Amino acid sequence: MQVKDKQSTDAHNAFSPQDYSRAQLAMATLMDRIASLSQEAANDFLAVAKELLTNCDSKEKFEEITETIREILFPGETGGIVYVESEEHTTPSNLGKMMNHVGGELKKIRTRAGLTQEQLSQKSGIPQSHICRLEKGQHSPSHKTLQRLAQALRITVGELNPCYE
Amino acid sequence: MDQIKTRTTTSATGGPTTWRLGYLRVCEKEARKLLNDSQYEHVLYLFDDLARSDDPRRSETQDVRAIEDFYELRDKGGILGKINLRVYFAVFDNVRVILALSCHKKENEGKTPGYIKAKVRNRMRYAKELLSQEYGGR
Repeated sequence: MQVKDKQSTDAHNAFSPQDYSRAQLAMATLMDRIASLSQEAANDFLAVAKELLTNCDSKEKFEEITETIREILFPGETGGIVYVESEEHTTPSNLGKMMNHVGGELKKIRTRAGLTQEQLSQKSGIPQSHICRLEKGQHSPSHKTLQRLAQALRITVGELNPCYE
Repeated sequence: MDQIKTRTTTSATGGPTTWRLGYLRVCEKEARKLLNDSQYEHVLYLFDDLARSDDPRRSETQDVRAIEDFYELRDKGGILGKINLRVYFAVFDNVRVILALSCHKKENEGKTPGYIKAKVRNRMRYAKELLSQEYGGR
């Protein structure tokens, strides 16, 4: 018991009067910031703070929530907007190889089925221009696109892209 | 990094993209943490595709779902491997901008957690402010 009391006293003494002053200042700044939030931001702040206190069951979630709170209080820290400019992007070799492979397979299977790009477009609901870009290896298709094409060609998605096998 | 191909961004008719595509820096940071170079570039292709469409909210080629007044792009498998990806984005019709706001790996098929929605809402408010400054309150 004595040991516990000593620990408690040591922990208490670990904070100097300056530490308390800093903490008070930080709290005051924080309260000020919270008071200046818009109604929408304040609602989100309260909702995530409640989630943090009542329903935070993992380290990942804790970090995510505290990050969100920080962003709500200081939105400028999320950085600005970056626009994706055309013609200056390069495709890593792994992806480029995959795009070429999918394009080649798509063209081979489509022609074997006796379909034009336009006919495949009508059967799949995928725009002809999109099919054209895929066959040229100029686009990396989504799972949804591959599913629709595979369904129209009566094959599996894996036959177009072995990564899905 | 070994690179073999240059990507150009044009619309279905060969002209410039229909929408201007952008992302918040914090979203890029999240994506880079989650994805390798090939996977990251794949996601850019998916967004390129949305930027070419007349209405990125209703895509024939991408899995896009509405959540409140923002949207979720879903993709999985292929180059993404085991990652079940969710990218939250907003569409600003007044300035014709699509903006990626947040990037996550979905752990289960349940609803989007409330704290993630709150984060995206907050980023959307901030993005609106930035766009308003950039486009002069349009």
